[in-house]
Amino acid sequence: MTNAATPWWRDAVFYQVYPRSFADANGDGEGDLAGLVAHLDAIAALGVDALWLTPFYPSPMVDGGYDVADYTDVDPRYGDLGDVDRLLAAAHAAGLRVTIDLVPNHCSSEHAWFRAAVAAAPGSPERARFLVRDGRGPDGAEPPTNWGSVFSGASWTRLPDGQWYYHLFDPTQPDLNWDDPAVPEEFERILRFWLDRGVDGFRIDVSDALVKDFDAGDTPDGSPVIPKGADSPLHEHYRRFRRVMDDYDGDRMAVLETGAPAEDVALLLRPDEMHLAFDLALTRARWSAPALREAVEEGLAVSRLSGAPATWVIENHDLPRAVTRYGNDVELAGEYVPEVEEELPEPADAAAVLARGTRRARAAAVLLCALPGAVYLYQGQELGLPEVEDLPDEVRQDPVFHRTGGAARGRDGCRVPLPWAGAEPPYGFGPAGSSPWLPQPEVFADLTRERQEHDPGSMLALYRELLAVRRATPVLRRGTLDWLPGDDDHVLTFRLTLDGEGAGGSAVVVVNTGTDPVALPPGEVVAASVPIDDLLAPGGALPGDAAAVVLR
Amino acid sequence: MTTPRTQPHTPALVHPDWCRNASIYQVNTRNFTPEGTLAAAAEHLERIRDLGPSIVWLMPVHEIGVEGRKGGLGSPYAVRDFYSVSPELGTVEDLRALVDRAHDLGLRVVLDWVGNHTSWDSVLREQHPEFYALDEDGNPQPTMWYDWDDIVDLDYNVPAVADYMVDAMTYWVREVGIDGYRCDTAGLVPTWFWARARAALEEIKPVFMLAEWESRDLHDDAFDASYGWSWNSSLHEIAMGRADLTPLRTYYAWNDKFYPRDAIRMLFVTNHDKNSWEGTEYEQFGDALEAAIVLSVVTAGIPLVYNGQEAGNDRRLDFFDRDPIQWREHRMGEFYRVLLALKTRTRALDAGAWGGRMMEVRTSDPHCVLAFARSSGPDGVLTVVNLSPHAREVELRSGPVAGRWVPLEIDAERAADLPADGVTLEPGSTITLPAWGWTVLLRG
Repeated sequence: MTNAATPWWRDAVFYQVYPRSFADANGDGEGDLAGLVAHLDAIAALGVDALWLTPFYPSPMVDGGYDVADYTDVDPRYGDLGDVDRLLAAAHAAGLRVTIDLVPNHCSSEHAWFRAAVAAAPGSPERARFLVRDGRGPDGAEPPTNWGSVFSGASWTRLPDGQWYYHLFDPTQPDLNWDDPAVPEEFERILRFWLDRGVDGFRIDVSDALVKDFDAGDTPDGSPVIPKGADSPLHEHYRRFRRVMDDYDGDRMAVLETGAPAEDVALLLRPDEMHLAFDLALTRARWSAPALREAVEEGLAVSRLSGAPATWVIENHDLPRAVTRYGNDVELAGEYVPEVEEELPEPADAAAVLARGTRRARAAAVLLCALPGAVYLYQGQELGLPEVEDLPDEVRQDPVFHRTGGAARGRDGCRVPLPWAGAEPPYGFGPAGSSPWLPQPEVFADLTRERQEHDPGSMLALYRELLAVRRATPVLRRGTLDWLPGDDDHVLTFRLTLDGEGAGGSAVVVVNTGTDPVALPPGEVVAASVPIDDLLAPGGALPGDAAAVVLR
Repeated sequence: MTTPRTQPHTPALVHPDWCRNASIYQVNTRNFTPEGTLAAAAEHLERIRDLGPSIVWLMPVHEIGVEGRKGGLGSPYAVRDFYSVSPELGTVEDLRALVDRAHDLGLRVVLDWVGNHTSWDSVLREQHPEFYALDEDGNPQPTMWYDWDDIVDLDYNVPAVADYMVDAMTYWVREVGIDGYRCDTAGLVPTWFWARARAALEEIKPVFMLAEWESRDLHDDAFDASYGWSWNSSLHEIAMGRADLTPLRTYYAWNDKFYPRDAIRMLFVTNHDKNSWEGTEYEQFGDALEAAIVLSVVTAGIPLVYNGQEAGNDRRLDFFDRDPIQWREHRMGEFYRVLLALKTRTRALDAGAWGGRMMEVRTSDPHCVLAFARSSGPDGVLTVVNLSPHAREVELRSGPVAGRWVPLEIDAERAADLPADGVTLEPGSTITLPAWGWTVLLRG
């Protein structure tokens, strides 16, 4: 397991960059690739192994760039292909791999293919690349199925000539027809385009939904029928992706975004298919030991079935920030785009909620960095940023907000531009005087990277420490996890062990989501969400809402 | 000790990772080799490793008392000086050399520790007369109700006793590098003492602690493992035709629900007490011996091999005098080698919370047949044992039996006759087992 041939991605820590909100070099209010290059040292100093960039492709930005108009170019708001080359060179020089987003399920309605499909006649090769069907009923005025869209509303939209096209998401995101050989052909070209440039891997958006079974017709609840099992043609597409990636050196990889059941995910992670799949269960779990345990179990189940490492996430660009989720005891639902089951309550005491959420998010950070497998962090998570909940309606951009008539607040609150330095907006995100595309809250003044840099009690210092410990401790990255019994309602306790001689003993991770202190097992406390000296004091115990890693 | 706890309990005890897939080998040094010394025992370590165990338990190595001694050489459990090595066995250097050699071979060594009592002529009688509670006549007391006339009890109400014993226990870990203790009559010494000793030992390195006792709460803060006495006696009663499976099922029910998930029960068909005082494993189990050994390895816990079992030792060894084991090639050696290798490589059979929980398979013959499956990740082990003197055709009615299963490849007299390339089972499938027959099936 621990030989030099172990591929890098099996236990890597990835840092997700949302380029629009990371750093703005040209002062237009939106982040850009030049801003990212300029701040790479800050990410390298954090101790991560790789970057994942969400889409930077030309896009009308109806869905934050997940509506791609051209898969092999850069949207001018972020720079150009030269900036990508500079990013790859600088990142590789800093020891960071670079992975990028691939959006195979759908493109933008502005994509040349879709424009051509609209212009072409029914039955043409241009239309065959999309899921275009005749309607039902008189004049075909009824959509072909009753399926609904993830973003609410119907998933069929009518073309001027009366045919309907299918979109799992927004009408401006038509789904590609993966049964048409032209589509896999084109995606092989796209993969090779980026692999040739030196990209180390991909994050594959909505990866399990490429194939739809329209013959299934109407469904009782309007949910789409998306075959994912062993018989689905889906697997042939990923086998082709894999063959393309294996043509290149350097262990190129892909991580899947999927909400499919563990058995189906395991199929996608077979040795001739893809490499990793996010365990999104951990992003939905509320701050309680049973919920967290169940989520970790789900990730491990996929790993046990597939042999691929588990891939852990607590934040990404689709989710309310962890500090806010944990502070408000929220749990999330939804397969791809999370739904907040209970609307966030109006905080009675916002400062108290922030303090409680931060304390819990620190403990969650310890848990995350002690889980074996791959780990993803989302920009700002290392700063402990809270969800920005008071964005005015007029600045919100997420289609989730607009398509639900504002009933769902959408995902803009976790996409607010990062605070880097200084005491007032734009907090170093862009040049002084520039105005970020989403307004930054006052609380960011206390959370800038500059401010946290030299504060040993900061979230940033904690993440740096955790990642250093993780790097130095193979059992945390590659160990086998076994639960230890205890007060299961309030305490999560697990042991990590690594096979093989001289593997470095074992570790015990204790996460206390309750209020009563719990004793720590004997051994060396190497990381904790509270000051380690307090735990080592005579009679020291792990307080509530805290976590620690003990090496044996 | 049998009442439920009033509070959920978060244990402070964590097993050393090296006991996860370990088996224990008990060395009765006096009778282990013709020489009966530690130096001679060290020559066997490689053989022990090849047999499969990775923890070597040395019976007490300390100097034995002369006063009140039983037999010519006395009981090793009548210790005169906790800081000594008995000249009968060798020197502290011999012990250190044995431990070093064991470590080089990837083995761990635990020493027997006799915390309850000392010999009558213990050095402590002179140095610390206050360590002993005296009777009306001013004499120290043997443990009441037993026939242990060769020893006298230490008094743990005297705080200095615990201090002394903790120091002595840490001495051997620190100075000689041993990896833990098997603690004699652990329940006769206060549990708080063991917890304190454990904590002190952990300051040096992770250790393995085995209690010669059967009690749940010893697992809280002190002991990794405890004796499965009642498992042994239940199987013995069944083998002798004096009981059906009820007591054994009770053992498994308690093991599953009463004991903490991470507690490790040590399972043995024999040990020095059983062998010398109650009978050899052949006397104790007769035709059920194979099945009993199989169960000691594949059920939840950690198996024990008592020295000589692998040579088919069928003699009761003299406990108070030298009576060397007659070493010989014996089919029992290969039998243990195959089973312990299975235990080592199969995650489902790991100890404590590491391993797969035993999931009962309900059969058509619950009074004679025991069936259960354990799984962990891709590993799965299904065991079916006929604990009766008649061949049985048994239906596997419910439980995690569905799937393709391949029988463990082993040379055995009573293994069920199943196709070597495996069988596909589902609830309702039947298996035929010979009298006292068994099968261990691995998920294919």
